[in-house]
Amino acid sequence: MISFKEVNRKLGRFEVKVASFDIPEGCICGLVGRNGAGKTTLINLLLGLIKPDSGEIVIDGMDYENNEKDIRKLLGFVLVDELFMQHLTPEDNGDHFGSFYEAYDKEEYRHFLEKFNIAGRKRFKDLSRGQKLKCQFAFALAIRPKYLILDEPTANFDPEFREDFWKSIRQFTSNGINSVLLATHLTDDLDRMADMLIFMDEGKIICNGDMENFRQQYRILSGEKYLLKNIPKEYVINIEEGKYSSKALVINKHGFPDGLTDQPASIEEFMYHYSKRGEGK
Amino acid sequence: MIGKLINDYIMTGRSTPLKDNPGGVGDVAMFPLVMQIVIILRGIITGGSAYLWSDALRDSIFTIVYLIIWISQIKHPLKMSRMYYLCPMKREERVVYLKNAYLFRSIFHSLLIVISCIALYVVSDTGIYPLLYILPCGLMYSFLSNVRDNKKDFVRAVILKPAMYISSYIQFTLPASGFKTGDLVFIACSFAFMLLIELPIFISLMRTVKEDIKHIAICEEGCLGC
Repeated sequence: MISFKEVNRKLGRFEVKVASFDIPEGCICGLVGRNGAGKTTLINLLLGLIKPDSGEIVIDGMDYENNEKDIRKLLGFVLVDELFMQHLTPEDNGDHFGSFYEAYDKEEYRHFLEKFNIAGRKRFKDLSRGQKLKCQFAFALAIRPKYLILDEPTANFDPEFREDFWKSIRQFTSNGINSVLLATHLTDDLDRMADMLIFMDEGKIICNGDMENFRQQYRILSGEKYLLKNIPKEYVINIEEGKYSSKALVINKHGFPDGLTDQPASIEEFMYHYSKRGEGK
Repeated sequence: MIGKLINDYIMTGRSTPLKDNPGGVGDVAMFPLVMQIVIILRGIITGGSAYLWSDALRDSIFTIVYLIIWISQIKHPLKMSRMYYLCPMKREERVVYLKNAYLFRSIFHSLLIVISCIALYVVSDTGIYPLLYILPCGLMYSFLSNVRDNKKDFVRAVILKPAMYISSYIQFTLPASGFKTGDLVFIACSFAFMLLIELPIFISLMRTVKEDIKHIAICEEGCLGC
């Protein structure tokens, strides 16, 4: 299990301040938020690339201070940055960095490269952005980690590969032990696949928990404007007024007036309304 | 262990191309300029003596070795890419990894210098006295490293490298034997230059290298912007 305990980190004027939360085993956790919300900083903290100013990150009972090497054996990653050496081929990169991992499976890495249609003998810098990410994804799987940390890889994947990607993720977590933390802007996939969601804004975690709770807690109500206006303000995150019908994102804690259509909020709707909060109330 | 170090040396060299390293290109571009200065200096000192084939052979051995080391230092800067920080290593292991990589390349450079000195002694008429200067100076040169984040040290290294090359090269103007008074003054001045200028700068740069290795082992300090 990955546990964040009151982690705080200041980077210039920007500050990531996250309340305690856990990512349990066997789960696909979506990490969403606008650009600059703090997702990458959270991932860098989790990967031990930066240290928290206060609080601690515990992975399977271990912290970076005392068990850095053991933690790193558990983590596979695909980051926005191009991690591999540009002038080496994907195969050479894999073999070079794989030598640091006891569990690295050379054959499996090559198998994934082949499966993802990556020319193993082409130089890494000559690959497209999507191919580079596929390559790093293949490596992340080949080191047989327990946790996969993925920072916005899906946007650069072609639709065909996206299906393969999700298949691999499902397969990865199917043992009930491995978990995935996936930062992405493609929320449709998360709506279908994620077990857990973390939504960040301005360096803080606005909501986190399992998807079922999220769907229960946040609802989209549509109907007449005056009916929506009757809902107590503390439950309304945002109302968007339309010419014929209005929509509102609300917290599901109250019996809503009759005549309104009630449905669970998708992640995209939640993010949209959250970003507009205060504008249309 | 040695196999891994050789592999790392080759991999890092291949993945740090000179053309993607503007500072590096500038550094290498300095080499012909330095050579030009050296040739003029040599002409002034020797009074324009005829340039023989044996001189050409000797200069080639000497210059090529220096150029290889010069390029190698640029292609193997003292830093780690972000991926290394993510691989399973403790901070202490990263320090050892960096130290080993640095020592490996420095010893490799030293080996080239030693071989070139033997070659100079065997194939050219270079006497023992020039080699007594060229060898220690070359060994110091072998251990220099490109630390680009520290501008003060970068400037020192950039000045020291050509200074070592030039001061070593002009030792060839010494005759193999039968020194005159002028030659003895020249030898004394050369060693004074090495001991009073080159060596102190070299020692301060080595201190920086030691400190840098400790800092580079921490991602936040060693990988800013990488």
